[in-house]
Amino acid sequence: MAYKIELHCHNLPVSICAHIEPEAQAAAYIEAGYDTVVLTNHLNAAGLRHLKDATWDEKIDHYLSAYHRMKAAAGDRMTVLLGTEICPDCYSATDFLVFGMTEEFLRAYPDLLQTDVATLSARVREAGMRIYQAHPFRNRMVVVEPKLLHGIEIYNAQRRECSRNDVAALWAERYSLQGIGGSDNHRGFADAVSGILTDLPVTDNATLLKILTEGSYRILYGGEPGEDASRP
Amino acid sequence: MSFKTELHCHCDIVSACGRISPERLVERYLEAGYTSLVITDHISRDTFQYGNYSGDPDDWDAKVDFYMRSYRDLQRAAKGRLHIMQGFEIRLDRHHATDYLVYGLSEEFLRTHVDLLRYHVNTLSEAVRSAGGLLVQAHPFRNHMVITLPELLDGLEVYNGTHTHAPFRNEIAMLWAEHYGMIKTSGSDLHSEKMFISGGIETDTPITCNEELVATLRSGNYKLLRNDSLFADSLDK
Repeated sequence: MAYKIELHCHNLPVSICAHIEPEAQAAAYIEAGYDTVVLTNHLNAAGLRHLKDATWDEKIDHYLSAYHRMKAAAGDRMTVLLGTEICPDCYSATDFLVFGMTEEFLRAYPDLLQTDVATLSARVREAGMRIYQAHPFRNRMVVVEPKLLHGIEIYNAQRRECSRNDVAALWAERYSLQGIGGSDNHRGFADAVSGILTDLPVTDNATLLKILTEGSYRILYGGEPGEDASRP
Repeated sequence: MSFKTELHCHCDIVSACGRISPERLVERYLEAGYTSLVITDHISRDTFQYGNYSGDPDDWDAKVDFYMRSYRDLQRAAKGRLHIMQGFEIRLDRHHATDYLVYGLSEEFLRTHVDLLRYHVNTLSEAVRSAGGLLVQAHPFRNHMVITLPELLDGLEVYNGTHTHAPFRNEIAMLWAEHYGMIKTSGSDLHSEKMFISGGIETDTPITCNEELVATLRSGNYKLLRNDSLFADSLDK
């Protein structure tokens, strides 16, 4: 039996580019047969602009609200884990997916959006988490030093933007970066299906990190399992 | 018979990172058998803050006077033995570590675009194209570069000859240029005596001025010069 894990999705009100509420999104993923969703809402200046006078803790309260709502809506029918798609201020339009994310980590670094990627990478690694560049060859992305990353998204299923997944796959292979897949879902399931398939259920961050570290998964390409595309 | 033209090099007058004089640059390219050279000194905020510029920080004309010194000194040093053309390697204030080569334009373009460095790349593209020039992204997949919308560019540097520029990055640039139908360029990106001359283009007739350069690049009627053996121990990280 294979388990279906989403590694890249967004919902309201945290991701202002999303068009779906956490409860409706949980229902859509359950219906689509996913066992686990890692919610990777955007953490960037644009999404927090309406809270400019709030404290960092208040901003994180807002950021976590969508996660808590989705988790509650999913109940025991599907696992919802906290992830992040972070865009530090100095890397305009360049996004990093962080897995194994915790509330404590987010609260511990009020300067998180002011860091450079080297600092972000060091902090993520120190906390035992993993960092991947999302859709690294979309327009306006910054080319990031491979050594700062655990991997890159080599299959981003969103069709409204050209992610150039073929270039990302070549890059990952050349630099021995781990390739991952994600729907980058901002709505329902009309236009974007990806994630990974695992042989073990992923019910907590520790298992997710173990599976990613080991590379023991297959990428879900457009709803169908791909050849063994994950790279250690 | 064939003629070689360098499309990317720097000297020590204008480029703060340049470590070779105009006189030595001319001699090295003559020794290497080149007939033409496009000087593409950096023009960025740093050029006037950290380089050899000591004029008024708010005087654009004084900055352009300073910038044009390389071209004039190269012309003087060449003594008619090497065709020298003006190019630019522009880094816009808002585009983190991303460089654009401009071909076919000269001093007048700089004089009339006093806010050049504050442009968005869309504005730069429009300005260069409407003036008849070509906009080419330099070493486009080097670390820290921003991936620029293909439609804003006329071309990509598909071979950059610096030792820190890994061959794989050139390969990706070549794939990209082919996919988007862009002009392909090659440049040594020479900054110093110790660097190798390996890039540029080879043509059947000599390129003697900017108009011929633009026409040649648009025609695709040239061979890209490259030397991939230089990269055996490159820093491909």
